[in-house]
Amino acid sequence: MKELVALVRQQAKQLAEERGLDLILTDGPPGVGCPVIASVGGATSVVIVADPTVSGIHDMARAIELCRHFKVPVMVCINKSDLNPDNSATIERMAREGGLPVVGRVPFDQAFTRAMVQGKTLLEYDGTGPAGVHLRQVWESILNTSAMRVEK
Amino acid sequence: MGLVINRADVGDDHVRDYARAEGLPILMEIPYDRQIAESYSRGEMFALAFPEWKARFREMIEKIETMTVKGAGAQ
Repeated sequence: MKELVALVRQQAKQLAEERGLDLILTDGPPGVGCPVIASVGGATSVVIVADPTVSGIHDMARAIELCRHFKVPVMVCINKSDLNPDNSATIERMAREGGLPVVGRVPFDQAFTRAMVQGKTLLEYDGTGPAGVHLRQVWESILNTSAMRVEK
Repeated sequence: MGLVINRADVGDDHVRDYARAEGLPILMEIPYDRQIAESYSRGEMFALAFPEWKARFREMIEKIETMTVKGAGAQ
């Protein structure tokens, strides 16, 4: 699995160089296992998508440690942010204490699952609904972080 | 082997068709329910948090036990 991630990233890099593209998005797996480590190494920046759940907070703490180890700048996006306001506040506090920008607070929305069922991305499924508008804002926030501006 | 379908009411019939084609029993279907998600976010086990689900989980355990006994007999 770790090797697979490395292979995909290597081929993505080759393709980007051939086509003169300056940004590669790597969608890392959930959790904190070996494939996550393989997707973080050498990245310009990492967006941790954290759910406000007991396990989500635990995984986020581990992922932050991992990124610190690799010296990769981290930003945080809270997914299903309205599901558990107390846990969302904990994530906000952890981000603040770690000096990590919070680039989004995406509410719980069935549109994500409906899009997945149809085999579409959320923006293909419904780019103008509340979830789509939120996601565009998240992307703008990501591009505006200092980590992403440096390399341009 | 058996399947549990999560968010079963949001999806289409792809998973059910697959299960039928492969001869896999569907042991349980869990709907898309914000209450379940909220309960999970608090670190609760939803089989214990909702009495009606406790019974369904018991039923599933029985199905798995029956399957396992059958499987062991076939060896």
